[in-house]
Amino acid sequence: MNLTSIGFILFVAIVLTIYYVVGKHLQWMVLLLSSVGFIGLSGPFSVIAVSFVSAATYGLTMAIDRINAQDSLSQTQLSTVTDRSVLSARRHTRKNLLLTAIVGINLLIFIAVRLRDPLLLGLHLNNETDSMLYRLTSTLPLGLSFYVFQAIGYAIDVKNKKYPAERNFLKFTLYLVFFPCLTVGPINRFEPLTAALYQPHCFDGLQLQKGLLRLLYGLFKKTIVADRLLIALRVMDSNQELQTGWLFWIYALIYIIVLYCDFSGGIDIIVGVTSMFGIKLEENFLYPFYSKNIAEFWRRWHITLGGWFRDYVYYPLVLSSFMLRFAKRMKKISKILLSSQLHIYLSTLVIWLLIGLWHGISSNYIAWGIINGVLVIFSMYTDSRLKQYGWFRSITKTKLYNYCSIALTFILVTITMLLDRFGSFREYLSALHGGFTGQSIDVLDALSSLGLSLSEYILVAFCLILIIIIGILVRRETLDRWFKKCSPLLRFLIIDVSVMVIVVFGVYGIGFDAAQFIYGQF
Amino acid sequence: MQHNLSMANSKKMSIVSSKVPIGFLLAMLYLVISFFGIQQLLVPKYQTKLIEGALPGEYYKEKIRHDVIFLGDCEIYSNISPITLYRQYGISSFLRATSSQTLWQSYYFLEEIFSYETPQIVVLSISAMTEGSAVSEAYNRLNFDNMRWSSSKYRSIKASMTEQETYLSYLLPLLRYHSRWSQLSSEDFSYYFSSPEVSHSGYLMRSDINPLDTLPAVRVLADYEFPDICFEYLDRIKQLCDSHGARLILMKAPSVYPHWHEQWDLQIREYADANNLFYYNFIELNDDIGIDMSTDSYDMGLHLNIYGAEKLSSYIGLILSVQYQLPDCRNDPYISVIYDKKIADYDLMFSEQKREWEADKSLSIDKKD
Repeated sequence: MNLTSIGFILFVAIVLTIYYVVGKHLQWMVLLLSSVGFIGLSGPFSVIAVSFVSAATYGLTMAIDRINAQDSLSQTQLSTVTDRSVLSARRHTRKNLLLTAIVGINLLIFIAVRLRDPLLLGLHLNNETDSMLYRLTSTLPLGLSFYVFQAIGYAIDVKNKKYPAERNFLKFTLYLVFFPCLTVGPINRFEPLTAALYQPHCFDGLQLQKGLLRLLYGLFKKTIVADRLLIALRVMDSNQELQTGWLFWIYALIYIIVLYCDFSGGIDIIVGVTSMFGIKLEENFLYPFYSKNIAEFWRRWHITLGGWFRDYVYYPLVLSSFMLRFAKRMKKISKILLSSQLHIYLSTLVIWLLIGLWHGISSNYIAWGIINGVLVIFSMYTDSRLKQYGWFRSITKTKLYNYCSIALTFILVTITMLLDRFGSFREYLSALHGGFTGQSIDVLDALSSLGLSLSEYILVAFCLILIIIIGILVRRETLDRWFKKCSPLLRFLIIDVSVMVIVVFGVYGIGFDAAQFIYGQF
Repeated sequence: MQHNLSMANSKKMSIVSSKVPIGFLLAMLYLVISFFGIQQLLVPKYQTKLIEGALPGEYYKEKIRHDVIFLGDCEIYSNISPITLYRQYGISSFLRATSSQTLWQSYYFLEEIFSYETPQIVVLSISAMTEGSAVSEAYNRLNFDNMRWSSSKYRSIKASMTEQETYLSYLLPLLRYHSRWSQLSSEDFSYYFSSPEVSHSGYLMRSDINPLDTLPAVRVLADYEFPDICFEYLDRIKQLCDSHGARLILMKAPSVYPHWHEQWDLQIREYADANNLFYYNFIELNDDIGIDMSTDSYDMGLHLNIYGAEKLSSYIGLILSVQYQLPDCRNDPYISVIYDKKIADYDLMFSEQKREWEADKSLSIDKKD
């Protein structure tokens, strides 16, 4: 179900009504049933995949939890230190085996789905044979990338005794499949989300209005800006001539706007929906285009994915005995500039390669990971090295430096993000080469042939200015304060006007191929 | 003291809680008004462009009964002049015809007509017998946008919707036409509250002449069988007429192309014979009617202009008045007053169109010279 469809809005409205009508102790059950229903609507494969992940993760983490409990018990019961350490080592090994099983199962499903097309091809299955397996797997399981990562993170936390395993299987399943987060994330952590999910919630009119407004803001970004520019992007995709010379840079600019409005719009919709249920989600964006370097950009863009990789892959990797030994050895071998930090940079590169592979298993995503990794390392390095010089520190305090850094970061992000649009790294390089050396056709002529009218370009420009202004106001919290002070009637009227703006200026309906969220494919 | 405070708090709470529903209701009212207000602005008005779209709504403006109803597509609304039928024979008639109107759309239009009045004769153009499915979403919109809501409209839409269409977009046309904000013209504002009639009892007048030079080659078809769904709805139209005591007549307009195949004609004749219906193929009667495609068509033989339409109407009127003994409505004071106004409008439009066309013609001759 598309987040921008009337079906989804009706679905939310029905669930919301039931949620506040039933007894508070049943609210989490309403969310679970609606989430299962939501997954069920996207096909049987989705239900099978989520049931398997949920059952396997639950069973194995419960086993880990039991070992944890035995561990703490034996600390007090066993008399000798030797007995305790032997037993502890055995249990540690068992826990590691169980965790490996959880990670393995989840990753196996994740990779199998990622490699679905070549796998089906290898098994000589296609839609012509109309086999059961093909029909079952013809649609990607909904939200797989998100709940697989949530399951792995949860298992690692339980193993590390961060919190005990959830004993109620249904409650645990709700954590994995909470329906608003199944399309474009975010990747939620167990403790903050479940604290809100399992808690009873009273109806709060102001909260509901704020949530609705956030949802409408997401629809505004997605249907008015992203989906409109997507029409132009598709025309440019289908014609190589429209990706040469100056037009290549216009293409790149359109794509980054589409990507931002599409992804952050989707997150706005999800955060809006969940806050109507009284549940606050972690923000996934923090004004990424104000970033002054690539490392900062990635701390502000898809924050939950970055945070997940940082906590569950990067830290364990950089603090692993292998990496620590490697760092020690490098320090001994050489005292050159990079050696002391080499293990950090190496881990960073590995993480970025993995993030690239998370987006897709192809050369362009591998290149995407490596390029971003190198850029992040470069920005980490320059940041730490250059700031040692006083003259540089004084430059960094100037507004001009900040603006230039922001502009440069934006350009770098725009160029690297474009890798998504190409089937392979070679195609990307060829297009990039065309961008520098190619002769473009008349830009105005080209823009007029992209399927958008002049009034639509003006509308998009106006909306982008509005998004920037809203961003500034939200950042300063003036919008929130002002909205709270408004009378209920005025707040309703603001919502009404927003609804009408989306209904009239949104791109949807016949003639427009309803675009799923770009991040939904990951 | 504490008691007073809690009293004040509860009073405040009750004021807040009573304000919210009122605010909510007012906001909902505002939303509904603004939604329908903007919808009215953005839906096409069909007054200067694609005026066929206004035809379904013209029926509801009628203030008189009709003894004859013509059903069909452009072969009806371009080729028959109800004004001529009245002027020459006193027949009160209406054309319930729209662009590419399918058999099932004709059926549901007829069903709606019977809910308003009971005509004595229903004349059905059978050119749509070749269409087994709705032509396109655009034609559906032309045919339904101005049709009044009823169970007939509901079922007609259900039967006509193409794969991409949603029923909701017919219920709330703003969801379909929202993107017209960038194409708004003065027409949308001028006809916001009301729209004048574009037809003469369903007839779309054209006074220009575009003669037929040569007939396009006849296409040989692989299959000449009419789709089953068309026969199904033809049966239902007949049953509907029978149940209301109306006589059904089948006709084929004298348009010379698209070619009306003999195999098609045979199927209709067989159906008419089997069901005891009259069938008139006016293509065969072109000479009797006096149609001359060098002067009587505005698009090279596909549709008749006013000269051809008046000849055909005169011919049909004679059949209807002689064979079916319809009452002469010219003697009805109420109907005659309304028709006098219709005739005046008709004549005025004809003279204006004629003047415009002759001016255009002389301009094009000047340009050639």
